[in-house]
Amino acid sequence: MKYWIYLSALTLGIGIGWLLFHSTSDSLHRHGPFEHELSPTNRTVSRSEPNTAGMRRLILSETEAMDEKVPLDKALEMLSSQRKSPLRVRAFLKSRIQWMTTDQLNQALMNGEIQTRAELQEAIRRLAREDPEGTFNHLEAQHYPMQSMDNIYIVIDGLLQTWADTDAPAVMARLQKMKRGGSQQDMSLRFSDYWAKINPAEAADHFNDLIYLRNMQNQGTMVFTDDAYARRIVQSWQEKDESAMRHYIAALSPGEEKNAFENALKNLKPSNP
Amino acid sequence: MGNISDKTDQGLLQDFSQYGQEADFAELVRRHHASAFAAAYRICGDRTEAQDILQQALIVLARRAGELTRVTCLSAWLHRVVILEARKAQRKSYNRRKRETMAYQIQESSTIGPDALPPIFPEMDMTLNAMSEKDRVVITLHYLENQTFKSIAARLGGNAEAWQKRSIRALQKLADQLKRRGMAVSAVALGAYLTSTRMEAGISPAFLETITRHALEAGSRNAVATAGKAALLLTMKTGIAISLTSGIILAYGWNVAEHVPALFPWTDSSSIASPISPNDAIGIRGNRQQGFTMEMVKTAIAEYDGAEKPEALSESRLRSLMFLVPQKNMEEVLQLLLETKDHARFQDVAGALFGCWAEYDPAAALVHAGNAEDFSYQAKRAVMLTWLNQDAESALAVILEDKSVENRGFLAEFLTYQCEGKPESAAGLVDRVALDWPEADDTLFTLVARLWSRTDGLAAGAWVATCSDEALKNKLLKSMAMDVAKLRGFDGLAIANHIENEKARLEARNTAIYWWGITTAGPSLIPGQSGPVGDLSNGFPPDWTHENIRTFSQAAMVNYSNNLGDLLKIAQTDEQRILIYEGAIKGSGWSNPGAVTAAAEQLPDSFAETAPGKETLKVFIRRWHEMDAHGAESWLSKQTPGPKSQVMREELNREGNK
Repeated sequence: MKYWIYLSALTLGIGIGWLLFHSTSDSLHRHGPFEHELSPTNRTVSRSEPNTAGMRRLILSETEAMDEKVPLDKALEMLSSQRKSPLRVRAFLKSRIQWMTTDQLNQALMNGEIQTRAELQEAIRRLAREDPEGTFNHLEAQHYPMQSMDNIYIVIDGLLQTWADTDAPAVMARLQKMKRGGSQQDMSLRFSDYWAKINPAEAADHFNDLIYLRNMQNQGTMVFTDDAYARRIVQSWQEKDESAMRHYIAALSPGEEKNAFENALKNLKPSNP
Repeated sequence: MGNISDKTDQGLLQDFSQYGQEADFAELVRRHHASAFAAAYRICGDRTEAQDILQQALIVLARRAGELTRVTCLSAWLHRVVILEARKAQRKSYNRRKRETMAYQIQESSTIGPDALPPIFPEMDMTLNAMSEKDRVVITLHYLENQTFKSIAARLGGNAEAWQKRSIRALQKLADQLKRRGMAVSAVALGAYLTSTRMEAGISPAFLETITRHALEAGSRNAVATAGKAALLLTMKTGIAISLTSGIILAYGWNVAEHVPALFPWTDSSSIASPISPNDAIGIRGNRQQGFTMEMVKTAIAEYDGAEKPEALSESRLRSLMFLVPQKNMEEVLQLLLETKDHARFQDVAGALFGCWAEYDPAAALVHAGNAEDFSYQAKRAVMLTWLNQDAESALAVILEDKSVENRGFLAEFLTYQCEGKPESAAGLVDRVALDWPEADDTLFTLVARLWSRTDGLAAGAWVATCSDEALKNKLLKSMAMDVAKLRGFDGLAIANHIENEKARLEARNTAIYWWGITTAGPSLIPGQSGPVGDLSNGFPPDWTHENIRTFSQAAMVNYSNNLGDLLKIAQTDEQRILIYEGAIKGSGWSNPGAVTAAAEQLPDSFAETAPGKETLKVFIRRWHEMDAHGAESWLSKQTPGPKSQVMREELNREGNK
């Protein structure tokens, strides 16, 4: 009698083992989150492709958190609970974000699955590179729920800066289409500061438009911040190409814009030799 | 073996583990049960539960007696075990208690039983558990076990006076840490309390005998098992379990073996010519040792190094791959990284490698990090972050030996990471660091407070409120109140309420209200839509001042000018209505002056006779005219002559003349 019971347990075990194997391997049989990388239409045939695919499979098989069915916040929880390296958490989540399609990533942001700084930056930069206008529309329509103001600014800065790196005038044009108000000004201030930093010459070319976007202050009174912004442009330009900057200002026709830049020049500290 | 009462704890442990003398174990229990039971009782506040915890702790003692002969202070060790067992018990009973909450509340409201304990009790033991070993030992021996300083000195070395001084310092530290956690208690009161709970928490000799016997039985069962005599104890249950497990392993293993070539195509040379589709890929979790090859790493590093521009996808894959490197290949992979052309490109990859290395052996990884040339900083950072996450106490000991800016940075980064999921643990770590590294405290304290406030503003506010540095505390509370109010209005105000100075508190509240209005006024005004922000649809709270109402209205108009009607609905008096109008006109200058004409019309003429009123009207009409000259002029022409319209007309004329 006893041996019959043991035999039944053994058979049951074999059954469970078989089911277990097939349930865990199913996720790798199906089309994976990396399809966009290896789809027949866009794949680049490379000698190292088997290596790339192999690495991907190996990484996928390391943890359930890499399964695309697992929401990103849950994946973060799973990885964090291992109490291994925090950098492991970051690395694996970065890989997951890189392997997601734009739609999947947008959906994850809309679900509020991404709330940590590193992952938010990664996700928003990728979206901004691939579809800046669409991402801006989602942001403006408040489709991305965020847990804190810091997170909102991570998203705003990530989008504006990544887009500005490739096409700053397009960013400004999009900001001009926004409803007049605090959100527009907030984003404009952040964008125009960044533009002045990366390309002061271009920012100077759009000075009047930018001043209009920046032109309100906290108490609701209207103060044209020409001087403050002119100073920012001039300081950044001085570091990059001081003679071009002086030439540009000298060539401006008389008016408020020229006055603002000349005032900024007066307060400019001499550049380091 | 000598008289049993003369033996030291170590001697008793030694004899018990070697000869299984039950009398030795009973003597250990007699010596330490009172303090252990008192600790359990303080944490759970229930005698029966405390008895269970004590029993579990004694079972652990019986099982691990052989390993404990080198422990300096058994009572301190036992205290820690009690804490761990109490936590386990609390977790187990969590769901049960949740179900019983209603009944408990009813009972609590009618009577307060003998087990009702103030909240300092569990915190005290948790905090004590987090202290350094020497501090824990002296508090446990003197206050919990009632040993004299002379006997402590005789046992652990040093002189009685030094131990006495140490105990005072340790008690003060404990009091300080409790204060940080919101429980103000003096060191003297704490000492008296610790002694008294030991006396009060005694248990009956009969019960003591029972649990001692039980612990011995459980301990001996474990000893037998670990001695490899499991076969003798094979019962029906274990037989079934073994059969079941064997079946699972057999079936699973068979399947895996069958699919190995498909799982790891790179092991097959033919796969290079015809790569398999990812759709054919199958695998099992955590199979890194089988799948990992150095060839794979070499190729990936060479490709990333040779690429014209670093590509995010390749970099992320490489970083993840570093966490699959087996320990024996660590040095080899580091060498590959050191041989790359562009070390700047590989900084994060090297960090990942050292993160993985530290998972295996942080101390060894730290030594290698020092020799990692250009990667040294990233390597040290990765090791310390990992170490702190895996074993904060020993990592902290390393950091405290070198209180450098670099180490403070690593600590700050780790706390930031910890705040993502366990901010209260991060706060505990800051409290711990504050004792040994006060110079780093302000920065780390501020950092954790801010991060914690993002997820639980109220808890973070309560933590900050215990800070003894008034200036730091008030500044921090003000800024936290502002941040929190943006998304959770009332929570922000609750944080500001911790500021004791009235003027500073009112200022912080008004700033928080301003940002609440700017960011989330709209949802707050509509019934059922407020969510976590806070519902204002029933009217302004009674503790809001006139300035608060004006400020909120002004801020609300920046982004929610269309909600002016909702704002007016919540006004309970004419006075409040006027305040809303004033604020609305001011705030609309930011966004949509045309939407608040009702406010300008409804304000009394006397508004235009004050300097701030005049200025507000001027800004209002000027901004509107700039956006929509026709609309502004048309509206103004229809206004009945009076002080308000006069001020606005003059402003437009002045602008026109300019």
